[in-house]
Amino acid sequence: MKQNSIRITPLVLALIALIFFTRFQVYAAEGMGTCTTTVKSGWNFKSAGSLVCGIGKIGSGGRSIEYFPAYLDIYLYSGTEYTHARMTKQDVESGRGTRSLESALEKYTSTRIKKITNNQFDSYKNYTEDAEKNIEQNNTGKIEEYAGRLAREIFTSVWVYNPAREFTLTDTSQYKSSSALMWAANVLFGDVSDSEYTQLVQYVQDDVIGELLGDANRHPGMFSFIKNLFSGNIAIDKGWNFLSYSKVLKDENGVMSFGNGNCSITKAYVFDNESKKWIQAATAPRSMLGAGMVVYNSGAPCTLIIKNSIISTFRNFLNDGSENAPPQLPE
Amino acid sequence: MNKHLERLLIVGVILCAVLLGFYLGTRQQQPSKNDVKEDKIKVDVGNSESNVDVSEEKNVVQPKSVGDIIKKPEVKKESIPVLQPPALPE
Repeated sequence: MKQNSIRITPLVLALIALIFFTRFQVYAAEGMGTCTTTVKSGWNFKSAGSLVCGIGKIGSGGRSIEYFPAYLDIYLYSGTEYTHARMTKQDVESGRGTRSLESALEKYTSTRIKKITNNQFDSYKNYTEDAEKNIEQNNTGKIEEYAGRLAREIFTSVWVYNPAREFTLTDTSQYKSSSALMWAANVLFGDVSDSEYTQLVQYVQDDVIGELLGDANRHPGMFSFIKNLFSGNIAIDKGWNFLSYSKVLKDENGVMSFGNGNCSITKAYVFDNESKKWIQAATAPRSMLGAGMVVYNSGAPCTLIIKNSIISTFRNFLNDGSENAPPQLPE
Repeated sequence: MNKHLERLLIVGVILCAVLLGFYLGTRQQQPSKNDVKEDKIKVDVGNSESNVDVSEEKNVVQPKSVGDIIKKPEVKKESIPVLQPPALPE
């Protein structure tokens, strides 16, 4: 029986994927997305999101990554300890480069969940089950909390140690949906060009928002969760918090100010991966977008509120018109 | 079918295929339980009905333990030390 059946190997699956992907091209061949991340020699403090395009390339077997070192060490900070992952060149070239990162992520997630829930939950599974239940029941308070927590995780940063020379990871796509992901990554964790930003806004408006709004009545809790995610609220812990030096976290004037919300942020630094020195976030140059940033909250856990044109553009797409309505007439 | 739905379906299939491919790829690194069973059957343990203590006989092949059959790859201790990330600013 076993010998007669066709073995579904990764190669067969890759062929199936290729056939579908070729078909997919017919519908989506528009625009071109590119994302690039450079890993300098020695210590790098980088926005975790800026590594996403590189991780995608590594996960698919990175034979073509020029100057990839013998190993690359990644450190995730859970708020109490570092979790270490080592990607060896051998693993990367055989397409197993993300294996070590996956197990480190599991450990990181479990430690984070314990910390943020004060040991109420000790596993990702239990926490997400509870979250799904609360979202389904449209529990407003909980939904705000989950969205703030998730927003914080999106902007987290990681330490990367490269024992060899600098190398660059670049990924490109000519397909609309994957290009949109790259444009989004550039908005959140890099320096997006005006044309990329316009294309992303157009894509969200044309292909994403309509479906979300259409589903809002059937799943009000999920819609509320997505809306909260675009609200600009970020949950901040007591002490040091790992964030990213991102345009999205700057205020209306393009400054890292942290003035809105109920936090008491007393220090904010970005790590210069070139000179290996900490630089005050308020004076960090634009060329450092995508680097890791640490902020110190001297008060209790709190919520940071970010207000800028990027946040309001996407938030307004999800509003039912209430925020765009003219002011009420006097009574 | 609605073009948008069709497109979503295709993306879903690709994702499933890639994930399954990745999963199978990692599974191929270790022998399955069935593979171990087949190996065990091939081992000559002599005549088990004779009540003879075969352990004394020189030419009798001793049954292999599961630990012998699944030879664990030699894990070399990492000689490259794991460093500590730089300190946070004061």
